[in-house]
Amino acid sequence: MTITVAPAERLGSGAGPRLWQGLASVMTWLPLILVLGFAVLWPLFAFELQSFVDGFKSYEDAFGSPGFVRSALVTFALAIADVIFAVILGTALAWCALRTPARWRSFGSMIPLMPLLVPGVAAASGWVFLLSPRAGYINTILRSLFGITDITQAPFNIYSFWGMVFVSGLIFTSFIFMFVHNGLRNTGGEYEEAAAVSGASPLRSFFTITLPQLRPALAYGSGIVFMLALGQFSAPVLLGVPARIDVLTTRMFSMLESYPVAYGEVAAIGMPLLLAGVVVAGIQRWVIGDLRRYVTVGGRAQYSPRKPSRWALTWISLFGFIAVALPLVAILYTSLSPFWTQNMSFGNLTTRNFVTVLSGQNLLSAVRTSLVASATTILIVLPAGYWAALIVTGRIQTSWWILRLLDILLLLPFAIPATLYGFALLFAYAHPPFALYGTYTIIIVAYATIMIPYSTRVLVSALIAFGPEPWEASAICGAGPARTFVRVSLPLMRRSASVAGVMVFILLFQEFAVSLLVRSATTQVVGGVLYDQYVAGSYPAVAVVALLLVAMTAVGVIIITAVGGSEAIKGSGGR
Amino acid sequence: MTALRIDRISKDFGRPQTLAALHEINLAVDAGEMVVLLGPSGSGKTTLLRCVAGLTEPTGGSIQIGDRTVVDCERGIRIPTHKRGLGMVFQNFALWPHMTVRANVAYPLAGRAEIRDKRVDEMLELVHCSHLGDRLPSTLSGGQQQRIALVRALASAPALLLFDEPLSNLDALLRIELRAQLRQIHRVTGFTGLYVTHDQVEALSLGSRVAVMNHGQIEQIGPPEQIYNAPATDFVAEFMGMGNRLIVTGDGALSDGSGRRIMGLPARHGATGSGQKAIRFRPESLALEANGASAASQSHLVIPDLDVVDRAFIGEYVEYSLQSASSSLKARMGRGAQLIDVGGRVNGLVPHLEAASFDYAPRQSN
Repeated sequence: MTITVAPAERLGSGAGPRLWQGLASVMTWLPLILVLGFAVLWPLFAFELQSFVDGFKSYEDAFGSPGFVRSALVTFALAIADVIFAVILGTALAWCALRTPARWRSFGSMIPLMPLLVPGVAAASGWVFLLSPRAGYINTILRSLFGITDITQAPFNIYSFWGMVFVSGLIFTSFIFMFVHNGLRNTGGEYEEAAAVSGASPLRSFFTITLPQLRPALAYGSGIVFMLALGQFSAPVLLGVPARIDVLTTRMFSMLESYPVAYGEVAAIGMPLLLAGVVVAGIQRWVIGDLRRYVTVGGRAQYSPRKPSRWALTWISLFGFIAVALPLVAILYTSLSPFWTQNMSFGNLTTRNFVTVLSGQNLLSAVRTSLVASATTILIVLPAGYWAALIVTGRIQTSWWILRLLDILLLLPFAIPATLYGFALLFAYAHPPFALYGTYTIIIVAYATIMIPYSTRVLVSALIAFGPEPWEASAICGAGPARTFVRVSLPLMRRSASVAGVMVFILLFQEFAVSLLVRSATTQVVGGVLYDQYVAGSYPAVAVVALLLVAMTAVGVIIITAVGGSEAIKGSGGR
Repeated sequence: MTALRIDRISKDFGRPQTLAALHEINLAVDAGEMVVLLGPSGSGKTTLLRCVAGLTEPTGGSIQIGDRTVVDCERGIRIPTHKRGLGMVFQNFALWPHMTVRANVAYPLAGRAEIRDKRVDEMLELVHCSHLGDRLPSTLSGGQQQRIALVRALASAPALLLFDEPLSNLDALLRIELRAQLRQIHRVTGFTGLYVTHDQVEALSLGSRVAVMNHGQIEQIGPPEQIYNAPATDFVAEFMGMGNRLIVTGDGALSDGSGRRIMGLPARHGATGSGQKAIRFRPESLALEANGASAASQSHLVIPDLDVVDRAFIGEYVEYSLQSASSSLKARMGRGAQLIDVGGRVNGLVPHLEAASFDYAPRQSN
């Protein structure tokens, strides 16, 4: 960059020389990219580097240790089973949602999303109370119905591979539902009507017309589910580990117990997950290009209602009952019981558990830590997310490779399993030069790193919805950046910023894997308390904490819906 | 006095290509003039407007507003949008949804509160919207929103007003009404305007001068009458409604190999070379008469042997579809004219003054 302007001309021009302008324009994105790049990439890099410290010894140790191959196979099988489970159930629910009678339609499209709003650990605990072989309520009821007296015999066992598939599959079903439901809504019912007029039976029309249209939505949705299912943690640690069924993430987690932690070996176990996450995310990015093209071609069709059916509503209600109501009722009942036993009775329900747990220092200090950490995280990820959103939407102009880099930085924390990320963050910040272990700071840094993608996503969609014109109009009217920010940006973005803030808050209270790794004895978080009580076998206490999580989530959801409308919930699609 | 001078402005988009490119555009707008940039989508008219506004950075050339250079790529001058002293009316109005109508209109104003209030009252009065001052934009109709957007742009009496297809989001009747109102306001306040549209009627009725753009260049600029009556290029002629085109060789033979000739070729208008020519005329300029009825004419050019393939009653006129070996023509005849049956063969007559001819080069793959 050379300056060829004579000094006199420069003075007369009323604008600074090029170099200064170039520097100023670089400063509109460089600091964010540097900080975000460091926060996202450095922990992963430093951590995975550990796996190569002794050549390939870490890999030999990790992959050669007993049970590793089985864990890897279980991880893969679990992910595949989850995808199949979710695709079948999610597609069926989407089909039903579009056929619910008009006055029930919003109910029909909200219910299948509810499992996303129940904290994963709470749902898993609920199913333990229902389907544990000995004391599970459903097993107890079935035993008494069929007159089985031997309590070692149980129709269902939640501590099993299929137990994990069922509990996590219900959550993933909501993801598939979201994609397929949107896909079906966009394509409209005319195509199926045309098929019917041409003489196709409903079944033939479904397989030859509806399903092919859904291919992009299903490809995209099942890719995301596969990625998340490979790295899942809540269901495996609560349901698989008691039955000695390990997946890669629980295997990594169990190595936290040994001292000193063999970071090299943990990093080696994580490597296949890292690669799988990156590959699947890469394919997703490649497919979404196709997907957008597909939408522009087919997006013209307006929503036209399908023929309503009463059965559709019944199936959706049944799903809501099983996936949401049953586990919540089980948690509520257990939290009110003195002990969790197979002898169910409503006579001696008590609130003693609440008093015990809530008056204990343990939970209160964990709630305080979670609150402080979440609030501080929100103060970081809202401005940072807004800055990132300005770049993503082109309001701050950069080159295409900066956009691509930012895209990757915002995708990685989502694509890489939380357990792996948690270890990376722990390794990176617990050791010198940072040595942050046991402080709030490490929790906040970890939370901020994994939450920026979510706040960015909400703010990006708000910026896109408003379009650039309000900002352009302000500049045309002579308002400088500061006045525009105060008079236009703040009031326009206030609502989405609140939604993003509350959403981050909810997701952090539900967050399990990273929290379990970066917490310490002095900085306990709510999810950690639940896990400790679960391992210690204090099930009524587990139920109380799970209820607390559900309640906080519910409050958050109500706030989001009040501020941002019901569509805002769908943007939240958390882990 | 020149209010806006655009000097060799170019815009190259790298990837991704979001807007049409511009190639060394020159344009000067005098104070009080309303210059309309007219062209199809992708012709670069909006890109040019956004370069003047500073919302898009040109890659070459310079722009002066009044006597101030606001952008000069060679000298590295770039005045940000908010310091250019502009007003702009957006296609989708761009009223801030969280501010009342009054707050929207007052936004560009500086100075003491009473003075600003007075100016806002004046502005709302101008478009008969005084009663809407305390409403939020979302409670207004499209026409009301666009009137408010217009006076917001006018409020600070900017040196230059920019219009980005301001009427295209409104329905047809409202468009005509607002067009008339805009003409009146232009007459009363005498602002200088640069107006982008793809609607030729809008361009002709609003512009002091019209600049027809195509592929990032200005093909012709001039008063509306000149653009309409004497288009300078084949593209401008087609865009201005001269939908009929015949290709002839230098000596007047139809280039369809039939050996037939057009008689009484016009001498005036664009064509200069001796190669192939494109002859253009409007459907309403083409009169039909029974085959063989007339010979060469002094005042008309005569197109022999046209087959009538369809006849449609449109209401104001009857439209004939005609086929001449290789080209299809349309003719519009008034309701009074005698009807000609489908399947007949006729001669076409076009007054010399209503036909234009251009040098014709067969288009490369495009």
